[in-house]
Amino acid sequence: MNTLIILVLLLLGAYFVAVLENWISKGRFQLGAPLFAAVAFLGRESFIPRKPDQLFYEVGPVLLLLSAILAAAVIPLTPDLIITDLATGALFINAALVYVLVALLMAGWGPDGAYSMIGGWRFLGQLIAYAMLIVMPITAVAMRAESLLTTQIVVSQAELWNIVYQPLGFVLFFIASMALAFLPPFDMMIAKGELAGGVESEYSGMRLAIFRLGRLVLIITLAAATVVFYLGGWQGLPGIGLPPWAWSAIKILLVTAAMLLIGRYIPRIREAHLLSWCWIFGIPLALLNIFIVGVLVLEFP
Amino acid sequence: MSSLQQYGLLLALVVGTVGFILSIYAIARTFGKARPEPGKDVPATAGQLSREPVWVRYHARYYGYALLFLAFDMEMAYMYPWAVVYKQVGIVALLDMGVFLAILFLGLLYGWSQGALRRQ
Amino acid sequence: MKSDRDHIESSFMSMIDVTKDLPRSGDGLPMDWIDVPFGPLFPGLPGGLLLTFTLDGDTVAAANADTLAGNTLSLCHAISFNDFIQRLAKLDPLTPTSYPLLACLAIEDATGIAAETSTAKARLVALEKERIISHLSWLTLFAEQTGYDWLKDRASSLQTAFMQANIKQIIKLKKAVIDLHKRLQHTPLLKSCTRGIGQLLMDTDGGASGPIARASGIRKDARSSNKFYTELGFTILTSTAGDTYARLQLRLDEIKQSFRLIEKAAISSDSLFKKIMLVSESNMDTNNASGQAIIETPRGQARLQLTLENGQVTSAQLETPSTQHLTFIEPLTDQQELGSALLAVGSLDLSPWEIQQ
Repeated sequence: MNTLIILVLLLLGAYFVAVLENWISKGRFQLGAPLFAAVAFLGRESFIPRKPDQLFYEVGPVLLLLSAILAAAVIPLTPDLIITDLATGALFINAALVYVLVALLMAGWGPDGAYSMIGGWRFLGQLIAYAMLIVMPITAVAMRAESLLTTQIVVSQAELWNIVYQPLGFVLFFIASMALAFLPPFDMMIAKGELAGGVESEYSGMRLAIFRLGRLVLIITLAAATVVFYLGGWQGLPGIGLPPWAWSAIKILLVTAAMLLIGRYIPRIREAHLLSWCWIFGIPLALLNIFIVGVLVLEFP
Repeated sequence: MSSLQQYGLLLALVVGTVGFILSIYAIARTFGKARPEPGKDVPATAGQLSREPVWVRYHARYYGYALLFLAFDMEMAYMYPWAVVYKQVGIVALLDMGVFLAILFLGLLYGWSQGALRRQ
Repeated sequence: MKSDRDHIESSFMSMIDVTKDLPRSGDGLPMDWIDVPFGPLFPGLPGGLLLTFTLDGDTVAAANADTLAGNTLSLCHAISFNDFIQRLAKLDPLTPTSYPLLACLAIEDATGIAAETSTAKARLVALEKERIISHLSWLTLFAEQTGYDWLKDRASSLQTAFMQANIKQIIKLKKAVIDLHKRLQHTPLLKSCTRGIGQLLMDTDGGASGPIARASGIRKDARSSNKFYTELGFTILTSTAGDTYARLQLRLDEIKQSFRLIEKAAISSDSLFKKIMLVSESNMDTNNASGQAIIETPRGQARLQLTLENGQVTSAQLETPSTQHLTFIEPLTDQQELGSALLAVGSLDLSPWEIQQ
């Protein structure tokens, strides 16, 4: 039952992301626009390039959606509303999200098109940049919670949310999750102006729709993960009596909106800069974060 | 739920998602197939039809980072279990991991000094 | 036993054998190179530009640029003045004012009839308006390339506003222009993603003109020799870095400068706009004559030489800035990362229509 509720909520969330993205990019709030777009996708031709690697080409978009859904499976919206509270939850999110890379590499390599292939390889470079900044902050979160259970991680923030307890980790994780969801300014593998759509360029019709749906679910999943790890999950602010699910929803929507808004106001980052900044500043800062949290956990348990 | 059931549920989720996608493809298929027209199946090349195969030895310029990444990624596998028991073990755990990370960090600095942290 | 092993080794293709004929990259690794077209219909480049990069990974090993929509200004028979002006008006849809204006100036130079002061001022305003529109259009393309959505929306809506505006409405856009300039000074990442890209360091102009030459510190501007401009206090704006960032800043400064020039010129009525592109054919010198004119188009210096016979234009030679700037693509993109290379090409602000074939 929980599974169904969460899947429906996930779809609703993806719909919300689509509305928001449309609003931000076109300046118009149209509640129906994603629905019409989806119906239009149904009727569109889905032609495949001449000599694709059929397996890679077909699996790419499916795997993107799958990895986002699997990551969402261990994210609690309320103490009980979770698909499966895996004992290795925090690690599992990480493991599932690595398949985003595999999906994009397959989708990039499969169609034998230059733009998409360069896009796929660019994402591999991006993974090398952001991956450590996903894992290391999660480790610091697990240190405080003494558990990898995502529900336990939320409970551990009852007194103080992690955004206050380890702000450095939050900033790094937030930026890295934007890079993981290839949101602007980290969208160099699907850049219109540099690669004419990159990885997306060879997909059309329903396959493109699944690819886009996968990305929307990925965004909402990452926003939910940020909320669980840093913003106290379903726990509310004192004095405001909202039910736990409402708190989760509000926080997830706010984080999503922030993720989508930032990219509109800055130009795309260069891959070389992303790599060098992540390794020269990001990783030392992430290690520093682990050290600070380590001291804090022992001093103020 | 036992962990076996949990993984069973995840597997069901995978199967269900794939089924969902296949059924959507099937629905889209009922609207008709793609019409075969010349030039349509050529990969996107900004309006020019001529193209060569692109599956070649690709020059990934970030291989310096990639090698360092392997070392750090291995290290992370050890950090998760460490993080869980960190509070119980106490200051010793901090020192243990501190020494380990310090050595790894020296490696990062060495790599940086040797020019691994740039586009090759 | 030993011979067996030798046999196996000799039939096995080693990595060295496989890669010995491959081209070497900058770091000495043998890799395959692929030719990838970026044009004529590429979202981040002006439509009609035929650009092909030979890519070594995501690095440009060689570049080849041409145009699909270039022009050849050859006259097969004599045509009347106003037909000639009309023809130049259609030469480049991206700059529909500069070229007919150039034709007017060249014809007036040949016939020896100077335009009235009010007409000359109206022409100045029209040319500066076109410069603002052209630079804003370049900003839109730049934003498309860099994925800077806010700028894309802002620059393109501002461009439309300028295109539809009369003099009074243009003056009202002052705040928008200043705000845009200010905003781009404080955009994070903008400097880091354009600094050092497409750097063109020149002692002599090397054929460059317009914002590209001025961003490299060369004081070259056809407007500086025009008395109407000097009356309005025109000075040449330059920068020294010569990279994409310098070009961006210079174009932003030029938008502001053109705006000030329009303000100062203070022509009152828009009716002047209608007649500025006409030369009077009534009292012209019917003898053979030749004339030339230079104009500073938004992209750089254009020069027109023409000969007249019996009140008609019989031959004309046109030099356009983009023709010359096209040759910069190769040195600017060599061994650059793909995104940087495209940014460098974009920063040249080429117009495929004015490239001569």
